Amino acid sequence: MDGGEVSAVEEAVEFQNAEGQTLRGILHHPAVTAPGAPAVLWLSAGQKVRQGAWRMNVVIARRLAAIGVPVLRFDYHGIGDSEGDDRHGQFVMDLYGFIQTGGFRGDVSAAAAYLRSRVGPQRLVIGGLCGGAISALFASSRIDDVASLLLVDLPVTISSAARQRYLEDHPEELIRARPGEAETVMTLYFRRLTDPEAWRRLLSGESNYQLLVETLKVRARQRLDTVLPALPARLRAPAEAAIARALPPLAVEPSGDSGADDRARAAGEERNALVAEEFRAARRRGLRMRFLNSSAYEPTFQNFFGAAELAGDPIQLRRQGIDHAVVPDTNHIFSIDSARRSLFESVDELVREATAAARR
Amino acid sequence: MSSEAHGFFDAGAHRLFAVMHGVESSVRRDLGVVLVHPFMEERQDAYPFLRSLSVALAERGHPSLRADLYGCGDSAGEWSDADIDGWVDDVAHCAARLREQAGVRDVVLLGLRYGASLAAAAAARAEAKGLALIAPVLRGREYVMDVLRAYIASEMVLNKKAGVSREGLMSRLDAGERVNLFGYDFTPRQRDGMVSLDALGALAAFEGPTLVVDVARTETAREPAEVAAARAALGDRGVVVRAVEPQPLHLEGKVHLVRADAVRKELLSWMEAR
Repeated sequence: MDGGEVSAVEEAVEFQNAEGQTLRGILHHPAVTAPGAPAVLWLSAGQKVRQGAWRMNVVIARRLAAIGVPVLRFDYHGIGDSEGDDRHGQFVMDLYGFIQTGGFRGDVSAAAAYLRSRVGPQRLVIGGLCGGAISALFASSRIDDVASLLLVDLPVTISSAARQRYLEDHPEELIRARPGEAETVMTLYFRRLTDPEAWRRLLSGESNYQLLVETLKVRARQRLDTVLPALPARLRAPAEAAIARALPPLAVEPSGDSGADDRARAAGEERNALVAEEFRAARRRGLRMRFLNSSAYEPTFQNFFGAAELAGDPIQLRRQGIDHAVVPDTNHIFSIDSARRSLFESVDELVREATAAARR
Repeated sequence: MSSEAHGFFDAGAHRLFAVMHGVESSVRRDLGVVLVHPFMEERQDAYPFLRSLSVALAERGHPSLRADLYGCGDSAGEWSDADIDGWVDDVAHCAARLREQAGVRDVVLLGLRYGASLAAAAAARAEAKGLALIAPVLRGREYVMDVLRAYIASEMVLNKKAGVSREGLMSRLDAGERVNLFGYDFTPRQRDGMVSLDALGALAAFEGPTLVVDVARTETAREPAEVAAARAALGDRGVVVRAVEPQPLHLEGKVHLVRADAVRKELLSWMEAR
């Protein structure tokens, strides 16, 4: 089924968080609630309003309602149609930092209480993508009777707004920090050669071609780095010194997954210790958790969290209620057809598990 | 703070989600505004701006209605089942709903990006008394090509290679296939509807007051082709103004809070003159 079927009833709802702010959302009532079915609290990512990228939250909620599962999705305070200070800082990175430190956990708790007040006392499956995942994890200790968490591309780093701002204002430094991106930037520029508007901007001086210049320098340096080691040692040092001013050495960007660590740090990311603390606490409580990652995000997840926190035998982890899956060849928003299916299947599976457990 | 009411209403055969602002607190109710959103991810990213505009209008006594069109946002339907003519019809339903609920006599249709095309196309059906077009997209064929270009660029960033060309995507649409653009199943019917919709013709035929807001990053930036086309369609009618904003209103930017002070000021001052 796709997201368009509305056999169930969808109701515009509002409720208050602990600060008295009115939060607004949509409650999906199934035509008939399936026996033993949990209720699902599906959380939005934070910056996006309650429908999510490509309306994924609507599609997920309608799929679940069609099989007898009630679902609530809503806007956090200050986002979308909900009340509250809409600043969360001036910059998007400030909002990310707010979310990454549990800024919306109170809203999630309020939503869980409201959902139960409307549909009954069944257990809850709570999940979401990115900011939704981290808000679910942070709130889980405050909510009774959570059946499981579905944590999709859980953010495991904490954003440094100052560094990010600086890099956005100085893209040439970003490309120096990530020389592997030079190929992509060049391809995009070559494509523009056929665009008359791009030529007009160049000739009129409207374009900022600093990034292109820096990219060309990075590419030239990459080529030189393949040649320099072939020179005799006595020539190599003076040659290096001669060209270093015009073409400074590149940041080391390790190949393979381990590069994600450096790339993330270059973009101002640091490990978020709070996530590990919350995860360990949830693990001690025996909470069922599934980590579902896009292939695009998996390296960062592993470097900052997974390799340490999910180390060990996967079967043993699974016995503790924890599993981890990666969806291949997909982006962070799971917009590719196969990724959408994997996401839906994962949601369905956790709901089936919770239903089966309730019937036992 | 202005009052607002959230809920669904029947628009022909389906239900649309809408937020109505300023019905309770409005001082004057003779002129209301229907806001028409842009499409795909632009709708999400423009949400704070359109909401802030609704609040500002309500504070000046203009009730407004922001609805999700069929297959968009919280409204009924799948994106892939929606088509252009249906969306134009939805805009007309929104105008009727605003008149009925807020008791306004006249309605202005306000469209952002491709929403401007729909607003212009719906003006006659909705019996609109004015049009406000912000960063308008009025040339459907060019818009489709721009969307495809943006999609290909995003794919290149993800996959480090160009997996498909615009021509390839157009061929798939020609063959009757849907194309997944950023998670939205873009259909041949939508493509054909966008290409064939004569929004500039509708704008030229519209006789009521019209405001076109050219949203630019600098005062001296060149006028975009879309605004030039709107200016040509309007002739000596209508008002074309430039509003300088630090970032586009319909894209995810680095500044979280999009207040769009310049756009709001131009719109409110144009409304005051009505």
